[in-house]
Amino acid sequence: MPITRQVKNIMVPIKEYPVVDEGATVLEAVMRLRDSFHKMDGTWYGFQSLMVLNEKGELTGILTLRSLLVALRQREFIEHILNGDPTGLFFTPHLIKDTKITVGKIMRPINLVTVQEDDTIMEALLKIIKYKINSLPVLSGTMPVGVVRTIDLFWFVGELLE
Amino acid sequence: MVTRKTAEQIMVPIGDYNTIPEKSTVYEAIQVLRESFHRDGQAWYGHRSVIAVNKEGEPTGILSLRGILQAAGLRELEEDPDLKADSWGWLYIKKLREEARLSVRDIMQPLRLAEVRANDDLTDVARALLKNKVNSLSVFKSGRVVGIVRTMDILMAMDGYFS
Repeated sequence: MPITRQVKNIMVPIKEYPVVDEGATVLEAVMRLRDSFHKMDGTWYGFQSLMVLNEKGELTGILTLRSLLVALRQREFIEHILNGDPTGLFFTPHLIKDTKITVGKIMRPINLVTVQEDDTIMEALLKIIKYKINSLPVLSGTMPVGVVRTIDLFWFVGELLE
Repeated sequence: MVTRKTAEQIMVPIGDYNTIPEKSTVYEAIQVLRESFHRDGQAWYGHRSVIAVNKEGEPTGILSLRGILQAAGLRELEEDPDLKADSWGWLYIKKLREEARLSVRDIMQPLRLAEVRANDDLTDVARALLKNKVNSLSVFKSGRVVGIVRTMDILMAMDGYFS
């Protein structure tokens, strides 16, 4: 019965998901994502987010393509100021400290929105729509075990209408 | 010296996408979309959006997975935050079946909503994507849509922008 199917049946297991360290810079995170991308017929395909690990190897957040783009734009702005206007340095000391924007500062903390692996797919769908996200961490109790994405849910929704 | 890439150089050509007449039902769009991508292990290949075309065959909108999922049930959710997943689930399916009869035109993102020009550079494209809060932008050249740019395309093109 499709409506009672559990998240664990459609999620991507954590060990198959790309990961990055909290301390990595935005550029390093982009490189990590690029490594996971494939090009087919001229178009890029791949995972659209990364799971984030702290120093102890614990999963602490999720980093999306969009937040990377925001951070890169911020950094470009900073570099523009630094390169174009030396006197600007006097007015932007707080920006200079952050020229190395790290993953930990821009990720979505893992506990902000999660779903349990035994929850129904409907629960995951509700959260993805309500919180306007595309990747949702899946926990077993408090332990991250996977990620469920819009695309995984879409497939299920297609089945519902058959 | 870095050569600035343009929207046209990084976009997905419009011809790559499956199309659907804008008067088709959402149900038909779901079938077309399901046919356009497939799973190989954990990776999905194929486009996650379909391009809506008018009677003259001209592209008029883009319909994404998210657009379809959001169409149904969202209003109920906004009106009653205490709605439990179980009851919401059945309501959602019911709404989805009703809305599956809506036309693509009713729920698509019009191509004119968030656009860039073919020779806009990467910075302009990134700014447009963030400003419009969308996941895809249409690329126009001489008044016609020539392609679509996604967040991924911008990130993949950022080679050499930062040393």
